[in-house]
Amino acid sequence: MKIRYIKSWIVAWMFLPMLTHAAEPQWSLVADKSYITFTATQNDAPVSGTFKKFTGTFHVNFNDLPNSSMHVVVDIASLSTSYEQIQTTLLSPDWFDVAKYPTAQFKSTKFSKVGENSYAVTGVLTIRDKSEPVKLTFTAEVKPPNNGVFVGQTMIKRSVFGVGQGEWASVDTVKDDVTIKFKVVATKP
Amino acid sequence: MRLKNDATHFGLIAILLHWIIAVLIIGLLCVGLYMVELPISPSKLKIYGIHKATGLLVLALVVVRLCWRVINTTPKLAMPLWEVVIARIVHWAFYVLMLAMPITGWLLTSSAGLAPSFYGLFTVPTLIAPNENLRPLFANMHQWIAFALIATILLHVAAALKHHFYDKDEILKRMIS
Repeated sequence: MKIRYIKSWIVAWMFLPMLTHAAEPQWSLVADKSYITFTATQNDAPVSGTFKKFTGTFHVNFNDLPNSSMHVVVDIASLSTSYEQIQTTLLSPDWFDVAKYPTAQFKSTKFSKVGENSYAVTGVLTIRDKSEPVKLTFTAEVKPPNNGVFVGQTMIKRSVFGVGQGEWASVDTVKDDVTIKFKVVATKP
Repeated sequence: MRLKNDATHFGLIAILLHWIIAVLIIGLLCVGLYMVELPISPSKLKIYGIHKATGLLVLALVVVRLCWRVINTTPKLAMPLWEVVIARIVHWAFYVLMLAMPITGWLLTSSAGLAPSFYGLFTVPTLIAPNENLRPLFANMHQWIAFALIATILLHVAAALKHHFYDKDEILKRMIS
């Protein structure tokens, strides 16, 4: 009796790290169905682009938000726009400076539920050498058993991240507000 | 001064449309030739924005002008037949070029995925989806139509001056008063 009691304690302690580290099931990204786009305003008219490549770890359980986390790494060089000159300009040192800062990252700090199937995640967004808190909102559509579609957006100010240096720092011609939209299609094993 | 044309004179509306469009087009041609050479900068974007909005304004004015021309009398040209024929060819070439110029510009900015703003008042929709294969074609067309328009303007101005100073007739005067 006593031995069994000790044994179960040992087993319990062995598994405890897994519980506290919250090994929430990881979603794996379906890259070709997922995208991140942004829309800025130049000359009072919209201009958009897409980041075609990004990777991420998504330890998200919608029934256990406090232990959920995500970390997304965006490949800046995968930037694609409708017009090639916009692309080369945005990758240049004055904008994203892809040579010096090849990735942008988002690390979550807190998930919260804001409505039925809609959530908010706060975290730290790093673009160039600037890290700032950002809040994303998204809707989650999970189709049983393991397919998820997460669509959301956020608004950032490009000046906060130093995207647009020198004469481009002026928010007169290219406005400060940039809307970021994303669609993440993911599956659970 | 009358608003409408009659058999011998232009009305105020035709005269105003002629000169407003003339000033805008000459301005657009000068700005267009200048802006394409600029290195990318905020001021270049700004100039492009004004160029696009003004081009669309001209397109709207040309449509109004064309309607006005069709529903209104066109004053007769008191000159030899060969001159009348050439004058009318030049006039109708203007209408074709004045429509083709803003439309190819609109297609050009559309193919670049850049919806133009009408002076910040509203965003004008694009005509086609972004297309990097068609964009150089529209850029070429816009440029060559501009050259054709410049040649036509020179011909038109030369003819007007010839009538005023050589023939000493009323052709230029009647477009002023």
